[in-house]
Amino acid sequence: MHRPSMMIALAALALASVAQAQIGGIRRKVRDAGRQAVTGQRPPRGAPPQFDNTMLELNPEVVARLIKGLEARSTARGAGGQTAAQLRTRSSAASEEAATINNQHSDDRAQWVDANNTAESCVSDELSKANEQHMQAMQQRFMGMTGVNTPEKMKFMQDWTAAGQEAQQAAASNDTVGLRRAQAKLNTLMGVDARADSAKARATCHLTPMPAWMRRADSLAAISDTLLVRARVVEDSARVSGSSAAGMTPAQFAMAAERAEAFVALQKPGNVGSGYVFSSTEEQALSARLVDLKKYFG
Amino acid sequence: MIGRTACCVAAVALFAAAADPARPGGATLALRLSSGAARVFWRESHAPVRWTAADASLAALVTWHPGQRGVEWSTVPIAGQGEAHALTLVLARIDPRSVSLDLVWGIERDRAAWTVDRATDAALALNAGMFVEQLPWGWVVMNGRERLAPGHGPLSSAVVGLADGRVVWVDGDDVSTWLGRADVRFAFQSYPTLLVGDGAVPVALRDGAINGTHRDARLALGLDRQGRLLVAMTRLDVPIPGADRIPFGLTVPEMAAVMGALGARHAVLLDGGLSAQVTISDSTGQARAWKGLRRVPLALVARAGP
Repeated sequence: MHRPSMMIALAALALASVAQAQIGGIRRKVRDAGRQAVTGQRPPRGAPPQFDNTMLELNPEVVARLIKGLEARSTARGAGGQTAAQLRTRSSAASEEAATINNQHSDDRAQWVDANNTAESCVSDELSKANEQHMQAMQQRFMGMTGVNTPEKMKFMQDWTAAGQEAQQAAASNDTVGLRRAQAKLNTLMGVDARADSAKARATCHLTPMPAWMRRADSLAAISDTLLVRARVVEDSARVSGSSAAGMTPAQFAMAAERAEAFVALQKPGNVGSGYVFSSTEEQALSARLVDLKKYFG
Repeated sequence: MIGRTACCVAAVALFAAAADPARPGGATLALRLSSGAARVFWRESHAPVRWTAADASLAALVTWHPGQRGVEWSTVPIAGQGEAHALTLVLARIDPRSVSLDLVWGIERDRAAWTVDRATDAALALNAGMFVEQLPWGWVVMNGRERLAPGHGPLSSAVVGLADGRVVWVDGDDVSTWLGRADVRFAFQSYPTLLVGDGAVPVALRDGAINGTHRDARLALGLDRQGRLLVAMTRLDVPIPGADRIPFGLTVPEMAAVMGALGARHAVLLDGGLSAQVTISDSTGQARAWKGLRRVPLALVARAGP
């Protein structure tokens, strides 16, 4: 765009725009004059937006249906009776509370995590040691079983073999519950108390429980995430109910809402006007319902 | 007020000047040279099925400016068809090993609230992912915590940021490999996918399954063959403040061509239209912002230092 042409366009069109409010249809004449000033070409007929089965012209009737759909979308409720906006608000509140708690303890979490990692490593070492002791005890027990077979020895061997097979089968089928149950049987047979081992290791390593504030913050973060997921479910169903209420397909409704949002955004101070994104019919229809539209896009 | 009106009406004229019947032989994309000539770098009728390298003519004419460490940026005048006859491509490439990348959550109370105005101190920031109403679509992981579960759709892609600073690209919607992993620091999904594998244009972008005629302001993210993130955003090249944000630009296949020509192996569109916005801090630390018309719920922010 050469600057002289631009200046001609600006001057000609700015003057023309003064009359715009008074003379209907002047916008097209202005546009055509501008086109000619800029390009020297005769303008083709027809408004710039190309309407089709997805992009409906936002005439007064369509805008009225759109607003009906937007209202249905904004008031759609999920299983708990809350709108997506309410769920998002609650999610934000929980997230902010978690952030506030975390900020109040910004260094404490890192310190606790470091200390906890060290203690967990210590616990792991202690449990390994205990397991080693149990293995040695088991080997001694098996070695001591040579000689005369007593009914007690026979029963122990049968139980041990059965629990061992159970553990193998559970492991092969990724049955974690079954594996835990089989391991508990083996432990009982060997006189191993895994809970006592764990408690002893934790006490030895001075494992400290998670501070209450951290538990609270993490719980709030989890609540925030759960609410977000629920909000998105409501958003999804709200889109369907919105398009249904508007009597449009989801694609038509989405496109109409996007274009109406653009119109509202373009009306804000500092933004350029919407002249060439909308037909004059659309501009009139959207301007007439601007207050209503701002409720959803403001 | 008069000034604003004049701008509006001038914009009308400029748009009207752009209305141009489709050229026979399909769409083209061309660089607009300072001489006024145009150098075509993509033709719809001869569109590559796979981009094996950056387009040499485009690469030769892109002047990359240094931004903050790990970030380079450029603006390139291009021409497409119709209302896209005069566009500016805002480009950035980011070395993920030299910056710290993070997602920023932009929902406040019940609404999307993030704009580039909130990231003027960032090396680079842009809206991330795609959203239809208020919440982001698909998978969102922030600070190692999954905030939203993965979405599903054949033409989606995921960007995964690892704790060691690497960025991993996932073509398609199967992110199961990355779920629940402690080394995932952030992740998000978007759609439609523009390039997969090593520069291949998805069939849906070639066979008409994706609307190939709708024009909009576009924002795309990709990964090039050097492991750099590539950002490309279209803006109307209109010498009126604010008018560049009008949501006109390229089609989806054209945007795939832009990313392929820039050397991307993988690429996906982010939310364009009213949402598209990027801010880049130049080498002096001054923020160069291309603002959007809408607040968004999620942003990708790069800060200096890994």
